[in-house]
This record gives sequence, structure tokens and C-alpha cells, in this order.
Amino acid sequence: MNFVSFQYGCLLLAAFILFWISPRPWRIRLLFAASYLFYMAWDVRFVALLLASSTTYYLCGLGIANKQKSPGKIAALALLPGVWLALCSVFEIQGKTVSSEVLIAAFSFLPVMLGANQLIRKMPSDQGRRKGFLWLALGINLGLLGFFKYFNFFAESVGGLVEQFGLSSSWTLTHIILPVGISFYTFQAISYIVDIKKKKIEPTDCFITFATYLAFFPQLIAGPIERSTKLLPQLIVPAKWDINHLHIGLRLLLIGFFKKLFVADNCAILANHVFAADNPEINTAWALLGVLAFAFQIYGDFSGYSDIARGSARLLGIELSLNFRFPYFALNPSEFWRRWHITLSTWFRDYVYIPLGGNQGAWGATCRNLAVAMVLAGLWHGAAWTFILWGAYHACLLMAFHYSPRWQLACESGRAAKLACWVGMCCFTLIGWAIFRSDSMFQFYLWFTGVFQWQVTGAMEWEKPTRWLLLHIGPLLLLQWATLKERDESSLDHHHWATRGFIYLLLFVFTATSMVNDQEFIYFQF
Amino acid sequence: MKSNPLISHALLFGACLMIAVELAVRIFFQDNMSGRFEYGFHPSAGFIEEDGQVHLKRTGGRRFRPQSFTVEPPEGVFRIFVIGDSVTRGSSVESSYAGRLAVELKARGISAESYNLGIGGHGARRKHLTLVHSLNYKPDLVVLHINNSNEFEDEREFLRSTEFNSWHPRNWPMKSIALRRVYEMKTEKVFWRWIPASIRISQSKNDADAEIVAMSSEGATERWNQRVQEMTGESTRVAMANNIPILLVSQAKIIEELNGSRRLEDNGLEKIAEDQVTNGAFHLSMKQVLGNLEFEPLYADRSHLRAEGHEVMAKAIARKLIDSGILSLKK
Repeated sequence: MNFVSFQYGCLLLAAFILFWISPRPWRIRLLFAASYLFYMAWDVRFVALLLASSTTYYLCGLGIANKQKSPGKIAALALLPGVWLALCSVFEIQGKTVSSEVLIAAFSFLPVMLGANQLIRKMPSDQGRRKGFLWLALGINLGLLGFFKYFNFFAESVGGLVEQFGLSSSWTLTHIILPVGISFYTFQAISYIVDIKKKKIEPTDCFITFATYLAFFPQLIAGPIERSTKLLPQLIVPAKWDINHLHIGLRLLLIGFFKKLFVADNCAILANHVFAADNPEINTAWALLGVLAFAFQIYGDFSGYSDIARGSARLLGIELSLNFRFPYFALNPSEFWRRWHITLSTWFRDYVYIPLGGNQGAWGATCRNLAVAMVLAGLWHGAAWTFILWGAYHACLLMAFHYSPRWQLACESGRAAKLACWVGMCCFTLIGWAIFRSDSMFQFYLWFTGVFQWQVTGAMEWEKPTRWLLLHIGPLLLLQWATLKERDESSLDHHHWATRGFIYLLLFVFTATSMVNDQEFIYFQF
Repeated sequence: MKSNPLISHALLFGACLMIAVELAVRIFFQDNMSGRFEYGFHPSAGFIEEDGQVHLKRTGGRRFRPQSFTVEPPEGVFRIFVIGDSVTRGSSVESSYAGRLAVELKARGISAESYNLGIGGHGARRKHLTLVHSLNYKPDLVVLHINNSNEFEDEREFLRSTEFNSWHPRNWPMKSIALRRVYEMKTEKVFWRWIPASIRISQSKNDADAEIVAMSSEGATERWNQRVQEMTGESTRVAMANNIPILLVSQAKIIEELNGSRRLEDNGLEKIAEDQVTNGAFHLSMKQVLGNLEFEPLYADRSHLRAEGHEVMAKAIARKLIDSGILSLKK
């Protein structure tokens, strides 16, 4: 169920009305139902995966806090994924089939959970039991993530390597469909379990509440990756009705749709051409135009999605985290990552970089920590060498900034120095996006060589397409200029109501007249 | 704490502004509304009746070249309506064969008035609707220019009008004239002009490019000719049922051979027209008229005629009308 669809509009409207007219204790159940309905619309079978993740983290969270459930309750919960898939198979919901191997795997979740639970309970020390539950949760869920997202990539890579040595790889690759949102809800669940282990939060005793925390529909597919400390309390104690929820929610929705439909989808036309699989003839102008278009496409697409998610949640009285804060105004890589996909970068900071030692150790250790965190962040985006290179590239930028006092000083100096830093950072960011957008290393090579080819036979004229790009990023830049000193582009309260009304009208006109394109959100594939 | 109203001032202001613009467009551009969202499938769009006069107007529903005539035909003057597409429409009424036909007939001593009812992009279905409504103004002859190059567009616009008039909310924003106009301007003046055709086609994001893709699909001509055959038959039947003679002019377009030579091709339209010929339905082949001449200078592109080409066609039609006695059938 795409955000830009009639179905989503209906779901959101129904959830909004029912949520506010329902008695408070029923609201969490309503959100649970809406969230699972939303996920079912993608592929009904993957609900089993979500149930498996929810069950594991829920039970392990309670286990860590020494509040284990009885074997009967564990068995009942662990049966859910198998029962769900069996129902899908019997009734052929959405016409999807479930193979017997998958059914066996789903039902084997029951003995695994019961057995592991018994084993961990028998551990002598409390510390050991806590670690046991933590690793059980991480093992199962990172295993699922690894299988669905990375198995084919690593199998292909190893196969390629083996063939380099003149041997033949005998395994055959199966077509594995990537369940939407798996990277996002897995990370959200990891933060929950680790925070319990660190005693930052108490585990929730209600399975429905926890399952809703993991599957909350506005942010299930592509974030923001919420921390349990922020989202769970809002689910447990629903907000009181306030008209501001409606106003802010609608405003965020308008800005989100504007970014997605007007900015991202129209920039995509140029970016898709430059990074097309059939390798078009591109010269310097087109190479730059393509990567600039992609920079605004991905920003409009992902920050637009985040705004729609925040707006949808706000209509239900829930405040989600800010994910973007004018990232292209960053003066250095460190600042860029404090402004771009904030919930992911802070996740990697808190759960990978700092546990590894952060910047507290020697020069080499800090570089290693940065490299590990950023390469993993790259790999999180997808199973491809270009994503790994992108992560490594940003790690290098962060190291360069970290160990360059002159760069750090320039970012704090006068306007000219800041301008130079900004221009430099824009160039670095664009190179990064070219790596990110390329489907293969070879395509990135083609783009990179294109940058230095002024004249290419067959290259199309670029002046008019440049006008197209400017036409679609201009209004976004104006909006950012109007809100630069605020929290994000939706912070328009400091303007007079008439100005705000005029801005709303313009955004609506831009959005409504761009609704013919039908591009999927980029981050749904991650 | 101060409580906010249900609808904020800003939202109210924005909505009022939008409504004001919409109302202004609807009031001050009222004619433009005629059949606006029927995509050419409105029965009477573009025919504006006023004080005994019929004004053909360029409206949202049918983009006629502006012309006027009396509701009741003048005594002793042959009234001819020429219905077709962009080929018929030409670059002006005066230079088109539709406009020149009356001049050619007058030169041959026949008092006549001819009107250009050609609309760019109209295929057989929409031409038929124009023809049906035009019969209300009692023509003595209808000239129907048959072509098969607009059938994709005709079908698409038919589906669009059907869907647009459905309840689905995705159509709601475009029900606004103002928004629709902005959208069309953006598509026609910006998107088509600023984005190279090869990029548009590779991503098939707009109508014009979808048409190019469809044209190259297998069996497209056969499917479209089938539609032209059905609708031309229907148009002929309707005209004859109203006792009005009809002349079918079959289109010919330039085809370039592999060796670089050029010839005229009728794409099966001659046969479609010939099949309709009976007492009261006639056929004139553009291929036969122009094929014997040095045809390339007469064409502006592969399908559309220059003023010289229109002149040749007007003369040929006038000759056909006199030689075959079509005019005597009526008066």
C-alpha cells in the first residue's frame, strides 16, 4: 500500500476517525489492526515474518528483564507465524502460495523458541541469562535480515570469487523476495532489546503494544527508525485530542506529498536517464545534471516519505522523530550525517560506533570504528558493492574531517571560508550520490568518466533539461529558505497566516499538477 | 492556552484563494468550459448558438477554428461541413481545403459555403460525434476526412473521459479548471519542450510518447483500421438516414522506402472508404489526387498539407462534387 494511493488515504482517514472516537483502551488495538492491514497489503505472507520478529523481541525483552512468560504462552506466541502462513496457504489470500518448506520453517519457530528459552533459563548467572536472551533475539532477527536481504548477494560474490580461481560454484541461487520494511523494523527492534539490556527502558508486558511499536504503519516501511523510549510511551498512553494534531499532521502531509510528487518524481526523469542501464552517451553537463537531479530526487523522495509518515502519525496524536534537517546546507560530513536520515545515523552512532569505542581510542581505533559503522550503514541500504563503496567513501570523508583541524576551523570561520566548505561538501555529497545511484561499479565508472568528457557525440542538449530541474527544485529551495532557521520545512508558524495560506495553496497546486507520475518510493527497497 | 479553530486561518485563506481563482476562470472563461472534461466526447461542445447564429469556438471540449454561420442555411446556398482532424484543420480556415472549397465552387458558378470542422487529434469516434451534431444545422453535404493516425488518442481520450467522470478521488483535483489548465500548460509548454523526446519515450511518462510506443506495437494499424471502418460506416449510415450526401476523403501519407525514395501510402483507408460507397456516399482518394503530381512540395510533413496541397485538394473535391452530381442530389 503506497502512501500515494487511494487505499492509503482511506486507511488513514478511517484510522483517524476511529482512533479519536474509540475509548482509549481500544486505540492501541485499532493501531495494531491498521498496521497489520497496511502490511498485509504489500504481501500477506510477510506478516508471518513480522509476527516472528515481534514474538522474539517481545519474549526476549521480557526474558532480559527476568519476566519470562510461561511455556504455554511462549508456545502460543511462537505458533503465530506458522498458523498465519497455514491460513494463507489454505485460503490462498491474495492468490499467494506458501511452499511446504516455508510452512515447516515457520512451525519450527515453536521448538526453537521453547528450546532456546529452556536452555537460557537454566543458565546459572543472571548476567548470562540476560546475554542469552539478547543474542537469541539478535541471532534470529539478524539471521532473517541476512537471509532475505544479503544471501543472494554474498552467494553471488563468493561464486564469482571461486570462479576467478578457475573453480565452479555448484550452488544455485533461489529468488528471494525482500520483505518491505525489514531493515527498518529490525533496527527498531534491536534498539528496543539493547535498551532493555542497558536498563534504559522496561519491557512492555502487552504483546499488542509491542507488536504495534514494531509495525506502526506510518513508519513501518521506511522509518523514521523510532526508539522505544520515544514511541512506546506514546502508544501506551495515547495523546489527548488537540486540534494542533490535525493542523500539523495535514501540513506535514502536504509538504511530504509536495516533495515526493513535485520534486522527487520530476527530478527522477533526468536522473533515471543518466543512470539508465543502457548506458547513454553522457558528457560533463549531463553527468552533473543527472547527479544533481538524483540528489534532489532522493531528498524529495525520502524526506517526503518521512514527512508523510510524521504527518500520518501526528493525525493519530503520535509525534515521530525528525529525519531530515536541511542536509544540503551542511558544511562538513559530520554535520551532513547530523542532518541526513537522522534516525539511522544516530542508530549507528549509538548501537555500533559508540559500543565499538567511538572516538575515545587511538587514531587507528577511531578510523576502524568509523569505517565499520559507515560500511555497515552502506550495506544496510542494500546488497550491492556500490552501497559498500558509498559507506566506505563517507567513512573516508568523516575521517578526513575528523583529522583535519583546518577544515574544522574553516567551518567555524567567516563567510568565505564557510562558503568554500559548503561548496566542497556539496561536491563530496554529489560524488557520494553518484556511487549510491549507480547500479554497478561499472556504471559509476561510466558516470565518473562522463564528468570529464566535455564533448560527446550523441549527447543530448542539456540547457532545457536544466531548466526543468531548476523549475522543480526552485520551489523546494524557496521553502527551505523560508524555514532555514526553523526545525524543518514544515515549521511555518512564524509566518503570517496569509503568507502561510499562500504557501499552502502553491504547494497544493504544484503537487496536484504533478500527480501523473507513478514512481515508487526509493527507500521502500531498503 | 489559546485554542485554535478547527480550520486554521491560513488553510481557510488558501482555500478561499483557490476558490476565487477557480470561480474567476469559470466566470470569465465560460466558453472554455464547453465540454471541458469530456475530452471531445461531449455531443455539442464547441457549437455555441447565439441569436440565430452558430459559433464554432475553440473550447476545452472541441478546439474548432473560430467560424460562424446561421442556424438555418441561407436559401440557394450549398452548405458544406468538412469534418476531420489536423490535416483538415490546416494552418488557417482560409488556406485549408475546407475553407477553399466554397471559393472553388463559386469559381465554378455554384453558390456555396464551406466550414472547417477539423480538430487536431480527433479520430473516427470523435469525428462521428461532430458529424452527428453538425447535422442539426442542415448541411447539404458532409465531407468526412478519414485517417487512422488518431485512433490511439481517440481511445485514450474516451477512457480518460469515462474515468474522469467516475467518482474516484484521484480525479478530483483535475476537475478544477484552473488546476487542469496549469497541468496542461506544464505538460505542453514545459515538459514536451524541455525534456528530450528520447528521455520521455524511455520512461513513457506522457500521452504523446505513449502514442509513439503504441504506434510501433504489432498489429496497431490493423486494430485502428478496424475502428475507422466501424465508425466510418456508422457516420455514413447516419448521414444517409438524414438524406445528406457524404463524401469520404481518404488520407494519404508519405512513406520513405529503404532506398530513400518516397511514395504515398493510404494504409488501407482507400478500401475502407470504397466499401462505404453507395448511392449518396462517395469517395475521393488523396493518394490518387496527389499521387500523380509532384507531391512532396505539397506536404508540410509526412501527413499534413501545405496551403498548396490544400488548394489542390479543394479543386479536386470541387471537381468531384460537380462531376459526380453530388450537389444535385440535394438541390
